[in-house]
Amino acid sequence: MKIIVYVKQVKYVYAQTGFDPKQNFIGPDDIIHLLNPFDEMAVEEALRVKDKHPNTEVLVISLGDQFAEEGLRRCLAMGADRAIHLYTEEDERLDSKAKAAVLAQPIRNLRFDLIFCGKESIDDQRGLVGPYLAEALKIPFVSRVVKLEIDESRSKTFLHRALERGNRETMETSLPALFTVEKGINVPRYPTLPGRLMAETQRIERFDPKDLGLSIDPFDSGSYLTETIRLSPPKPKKRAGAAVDAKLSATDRLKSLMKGGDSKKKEDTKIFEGSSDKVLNEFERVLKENGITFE
Amino acid sequence: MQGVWTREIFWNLGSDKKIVVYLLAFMAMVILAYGLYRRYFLWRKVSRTQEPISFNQWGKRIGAIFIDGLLQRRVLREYYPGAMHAFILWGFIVLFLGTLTVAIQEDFTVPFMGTVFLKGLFYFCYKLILNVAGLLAVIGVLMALIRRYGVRPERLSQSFENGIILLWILIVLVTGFILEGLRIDHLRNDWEVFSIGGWVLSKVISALSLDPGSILLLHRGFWWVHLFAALGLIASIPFSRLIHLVTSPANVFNRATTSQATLLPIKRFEISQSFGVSEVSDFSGSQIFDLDACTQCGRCQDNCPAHLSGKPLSPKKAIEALKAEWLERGNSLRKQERSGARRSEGAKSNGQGLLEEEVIWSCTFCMACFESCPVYISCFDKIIDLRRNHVLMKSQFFPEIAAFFKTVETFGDTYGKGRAYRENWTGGMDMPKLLPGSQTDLLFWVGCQGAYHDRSSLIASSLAGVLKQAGLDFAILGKEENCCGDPVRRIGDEYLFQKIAKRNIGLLRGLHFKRILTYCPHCFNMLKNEYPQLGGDFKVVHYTELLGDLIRGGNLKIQREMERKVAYHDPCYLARANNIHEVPREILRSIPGIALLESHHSKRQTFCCGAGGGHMWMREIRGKKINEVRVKELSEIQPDIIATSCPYCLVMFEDGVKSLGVEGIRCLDLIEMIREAL
Amino acid sequence: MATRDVWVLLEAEDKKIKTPSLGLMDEGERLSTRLGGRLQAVMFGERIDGIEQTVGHHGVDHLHIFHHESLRQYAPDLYAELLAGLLSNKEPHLFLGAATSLGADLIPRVASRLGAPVVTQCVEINFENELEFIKPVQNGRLHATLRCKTSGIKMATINPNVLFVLEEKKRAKMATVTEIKPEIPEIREGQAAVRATGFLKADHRTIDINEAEVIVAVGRGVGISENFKKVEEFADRIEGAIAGTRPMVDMGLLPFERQIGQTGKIVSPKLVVLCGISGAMEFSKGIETAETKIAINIDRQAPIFKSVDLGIVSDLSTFIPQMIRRIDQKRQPGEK
Repeated sequence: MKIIVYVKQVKYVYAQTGFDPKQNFIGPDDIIHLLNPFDEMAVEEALRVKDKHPNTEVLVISLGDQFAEEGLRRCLAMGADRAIHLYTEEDERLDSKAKAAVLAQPIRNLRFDLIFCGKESIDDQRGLVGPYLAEALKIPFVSRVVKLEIDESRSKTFLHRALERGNRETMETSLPALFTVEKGINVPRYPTLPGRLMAETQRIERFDPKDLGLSIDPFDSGSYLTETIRLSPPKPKKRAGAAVDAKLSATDRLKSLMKGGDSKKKEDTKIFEGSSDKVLNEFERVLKENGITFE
Repeated sequence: MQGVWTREIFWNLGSDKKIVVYLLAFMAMVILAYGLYRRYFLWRKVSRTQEPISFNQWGKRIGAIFIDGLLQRRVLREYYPGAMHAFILWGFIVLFLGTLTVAIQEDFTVPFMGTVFLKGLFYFCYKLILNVAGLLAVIGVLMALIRRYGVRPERLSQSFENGIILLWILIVLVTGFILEGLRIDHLRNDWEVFSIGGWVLSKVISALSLDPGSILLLHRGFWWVHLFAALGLIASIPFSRLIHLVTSPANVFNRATTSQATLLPIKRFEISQSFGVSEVSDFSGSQIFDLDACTQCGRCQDNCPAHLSGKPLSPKKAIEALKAEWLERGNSLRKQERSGARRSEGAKSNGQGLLEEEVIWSCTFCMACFESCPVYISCFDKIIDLRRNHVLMKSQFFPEIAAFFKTVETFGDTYGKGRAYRENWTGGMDMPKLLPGSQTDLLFWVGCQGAYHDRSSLIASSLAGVLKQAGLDFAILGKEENCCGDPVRRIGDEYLFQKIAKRNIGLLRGLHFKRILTYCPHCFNMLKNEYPQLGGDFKVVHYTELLGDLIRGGNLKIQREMERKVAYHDPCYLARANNIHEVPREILRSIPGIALLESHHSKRQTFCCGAGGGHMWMREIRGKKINEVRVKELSEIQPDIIATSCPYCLVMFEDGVKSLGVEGIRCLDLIEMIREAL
Repeated sequence: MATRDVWVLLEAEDKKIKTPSLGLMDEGERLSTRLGGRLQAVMFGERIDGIEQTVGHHGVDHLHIFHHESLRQYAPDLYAELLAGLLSNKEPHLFLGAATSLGADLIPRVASRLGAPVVTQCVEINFENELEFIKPVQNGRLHATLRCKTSGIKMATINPNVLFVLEEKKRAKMATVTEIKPEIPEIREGQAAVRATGFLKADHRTIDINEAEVIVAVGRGVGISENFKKVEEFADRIEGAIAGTRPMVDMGLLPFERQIGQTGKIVSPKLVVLCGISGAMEFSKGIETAETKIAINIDRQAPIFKSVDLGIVSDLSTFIPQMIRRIDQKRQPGEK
C-alpha cells in the first residue's frame, strides 16, 4: 500500500512579549517551530496502517522553508519511508486552494491508496487544504476521523468521524480516499534513536513548486479566492488566548504577563462571590453559551 | 616459668603430617584456582564490552580497600550487622596471620636458622590475640545465625546455603578451640590461661574425666575435621557466597574512582547499533563484576526511598535478578563455546525485560544505594542503561514522558513556557545580563525551576536580591538560558540530553565569567560534574557555598533573631553527590535563635524527596508517595520549619505537608530564611 | 441572476432545530438586512412540524428542504452535490453555516465545487462597503480579517460559540417552504464512495477526556467525599466528563486516565468547570487550550482566577447542590 501524508511545520506564536504594536507585540522570542500536532497524528495513523499491513510505503510531503525540512525529518524519524520537500519561503502568501494545487502535483501520477492530513493547522486554523486536495485529486474525503480500519481487501475503510459532544458517526469509504484526522485518533509515537539518527542523513527530495508543471502560477495572488488584510488582537468578548493591553508600557506588560504569562485582562475575567441567584444566573448563562441548556 | 611457654607444632600428630597438610592445602588451592578461573570466564566473557582493568589513582583505590574493606567503615554504619561481620572478618584475618606465623616458624626459621620464636612472651601475646580473635569470630557467627534465622529481618533470606556456610565457619572455629582444649587438658598446661578459649574448654574436657588415650584419639580426630573443614572452606570460596572475599575488595578497587554523581555518557552514537541494555551481555564488564560482588546484605534496600515507600523497586532484588540472569547467560555461553557453536545472543527466554518496567521507572537516582553499599555496587548505573534502552530503542515509556521530551526540545525548558518568559522571574528587577562581549565574576544560572515555577521563582529573585545586597559582580544569561538537561538524561534520552548539553556548553564557552552560580542542586551537579564529559569545564558553585562564604566573610550581616526549630533536609544532589552538607548548617547556625534538629536520615544518608529521576513529571507508581514518607519522618522530630536548599525538595515538601494535612510546619528555602534574618 | 440574499444551513436533531442554527439565522438576518437582501435557509431531512413558524420568527423568508430516504444521515457527496446545484441556481451573495462537524465538513466541499471563496470558523462578519470575515488564528491568540476576492457567492462557517439567539427579536412572520425531493439513483451497497452507516452516542461517563467537549475537573478543594459525589452528580446533569488534578489521582479518587496537567493529559474541551482547583502551573498547562473556563473555589486568592472566563468564589458544598436543584427544577418544572 502507498500512503501519502501532508504535514506542515507551523510557526506557532506562543507568547507576545515584543514591543511593536504593528507586529501585534510579537517579538523574535515568541515564535517556535513545530510539526502541526494534527499532522503528527496523521503521520502516526499512517504508520499504524503500515504496522498492520506490511509492504506499505509512507510518503510525507510538506510545503515550506528550511524549517519544513525539520518537520519532514521528524516524520522520517517516526518511521516514514520517503519525504518530499516543496521548498518555498513564501508559503504563507498562498491561499488554501493554491497550496492544495501545489501539494497535489507531486502525486498526480502516483498510484496511492490513502492520504492523511491534519484537521487544521494550529497557526492558520483553516482546515481547507484537505478538502481542496481531495477535490484537486478527485478522490472522496472524510474530515475529523477519529478511528480508522482498513478492510482486508484494502479497497475500503471503516471509520468513525467526530461529531459534537464526543458523539461519533460511523462511515465506510472506498479507497483511494483522503482523511483529515482529529485529536483523539491516536497518540503519536516518540521516534526511536535509530530512527532519529537515520532521519538526520536520509535524503529528502526537494522540488521548487514552480517546477512542478502547474498550469497556473500558485504564487500569483490574482488567482486567490480570499486575502488576509490584517492581523489584530482579539476583541474582548470571545477568545481563547491571552491578550496584552497595548496601552500599558513594556515593563508593565511584562509584569502583567509575569506569573505564567497567560493572565487575562482584569475586565475580562468576571468574578462573582457567593451562591446567590445572581451568581447562579451567570453560571447558567455561560453554560448556555456553550450549548448546555436546562430545558 | 615463661620459658615453658611454647607449643610443640604437630603435637600428637607427628611432623610427617606436615606433608599431608601441605598436600591438602595445595589441593585446596588448586580447587580454589580452578573455581576462580571458571568465574573469570563469566566475568570477562558474558559482557560484550571489556574495559581494561584500570589502575590509575591506585592510592585512592588501595585506600578504599583499607577503609571500607579492612576497617569496614560502611559496614559498621549499622551497629549490630556491622559488628557481627567485622568480628568474623577481623577474627579470621588474625587467625590466618596466626597460621602464617606458624608456617614461617616451621618452614623458615626452624630449618634455616634453628629458631623457635613462638615461645615466652611472644607466645603469650600470640595465643592471647588468636584466642580473642577466635572468640570474636565465634560471637560474630552466633550473632549472624541469630539475626538471620531468629530475628529474620525482611532484607535477608533464610536460605539453606547461608545457614550451611555459617555453620561451617562455626565448625572451623569451634574445632580449633576444641583442639586447643584437648591439648591443654592432656598436657595439663594450667599456665596457658591466656589461651582463653582453649583453657576454658580444657577445664570442661577434664570434667568429662576421659582417659588420656581417648583425649589423644579425640585430638587426632578433631585435627582432621578441623583441617578438612578449614581447607574445604577455602576451596569452596568460588562456589558459594564466600566468593565475595575475592570479588568485594576487587570491586571496591575497581569502583573507588567512580563518581557516584555522574552517569556515563553514550559515546559515538553514529557507530552503535544498539543503545542501553536490553539483555545482560549489554552491560559492561564493570557492571557485571558489580553483580558478583553483591552479598545480598540488603543495606541498599533499607536505604532506598522507593523501596521504603512500598514501590516495586528494591535494589537488592534488582541486583539479584540481574545476577541470576548473568549466571544463566554465562553458563549457556560456556556450553556454546565448548560445543564450538558460534556465540548467539538472545534476549531473556520468556520475552520479558531484564527488570520489570515498574521497577525501572521507580528509581529517583538519589544514589542512596551506592552510598550504603559496603562494596560500592551501584544499582542506578544499571537502571539508567535499562531506561536508555526503553527510551532510545523501544520507545516504550509513559506518554507523559514523551510529552515531556517534546516540551523540553521545543521550548527549551521543562514547563513548556518558552524562551519569551525566561526572564519573568526577575519581576522587573534590573538584572545585568552577560553578553558575548562583556565579563562578569559570577554567572547566575537560574534553572528552569527558578525561572518558571511560581514558588521557586520567588526564591530565585530573593537570591538575586541577596547577591545585589552583598555587592557581588554577577550577571544572568536571560533568555539564552536553556534547560541544563538533567531530567532528560536521568529519564534516559541520552541523545536529546547531549544535544541540549552541547548547545549550552557552546554558549557558555563563548562567554567570559569566572564561576557559575546555581540555585538548583541538579543544575549544579550537571554543570559541575557531567558537563565536563562533553567538553564543558567550568568552575561551578552552589548558592549555599556562596552564602557560607559571604556570611563568614562578614559581607552579609545577620541582624534578626529567629526563635525556631529547624529541620534541615539535605538535597541528594548536594549532600550525597557533592558532599555539601556542612555549609547549609553553618548558614542556619549563623541565625541566632535557630535550633537545628537532625532526623535519622541526614547529611550523606539523607532521604530523597522523590522528585529526582524525572519523577516530577511522571505519574505516581504504586506505593506511598516518597515525599509524604519523608515529610512524615521529618515531622516526627517536631520542627517549626523544614528548611532545604533545592527547588524540587521545597515543592515536594510543601505538597507533602499539604496532602498529609500536617499542621504548624512551614517549608522554607535557606534563602528565604536568610532574607528574613538580614 | 446574482442576488443580495443571505442563505444559512440549518441542522436539526430529534425533530428540533439545533441551537447553533437558531443563532445562525439571527446572524443571517442581521447580515441580510445590511446587504439589502432576503434571508433564506436550507436543510436536509424531514419537514418538522411548525418549521415555517420557527424559522419565520428568526427572520427567514424562504426555506428549502431536501427530503429523501438517502439523506437521512449525512451523505457527504450527495449533500454537496445537491447544495452546490441549488446555490449555483439561486446565486445568493453569502452562504453561512455553523462550524459544527457537519458544517465544517460540508461547506468547504460545496465551496470547492463552486469555486467559491470560503472562510472557516469566523467569530465575526462585518459589512461596511465590503464583507469582512474575522476569525481566530494562532490558537486564538490573534484575529485575522479576511476579504473574499471574487464577485460571486461567498461562503463562511461561524464558530457556534458566538451564535447567540437574540431573544428580543421574534418576528411575527411565517416562512414559505419548498420541499425538494431530488432524484437520487438507488445507491447500492459499496457503490457510494462515502457512506454513513450509523451513529454512536458518547457516554460522558466513559468518554476519553481528550475527546470530551465538556469537562468537570475536581481538585483538592473539593474536600470531603460528599462534595465529590455532588460534583459527579452535577457533571452528570450537564453531561460532562469527570477529570481531576494530580493529587486526586494520587489519592486514588480518580484513575490516571482522568488526570489533567503536564503529567497527565492536555485537553482542549469547549468548556471546563474547575471545582476546588487552585491552579498550580503544572495543572494549568493541561487546560490552556480550553475554549471557556469556569472556576469555583472558596479561596479568593487562588491563582486559577487569573486565567478563567468566569470565576465564582463560593463554597462548593453549597454552590453545587444549589446548581443541581436549579437544573432539576428547570428540567422537570413542578416536580419535587
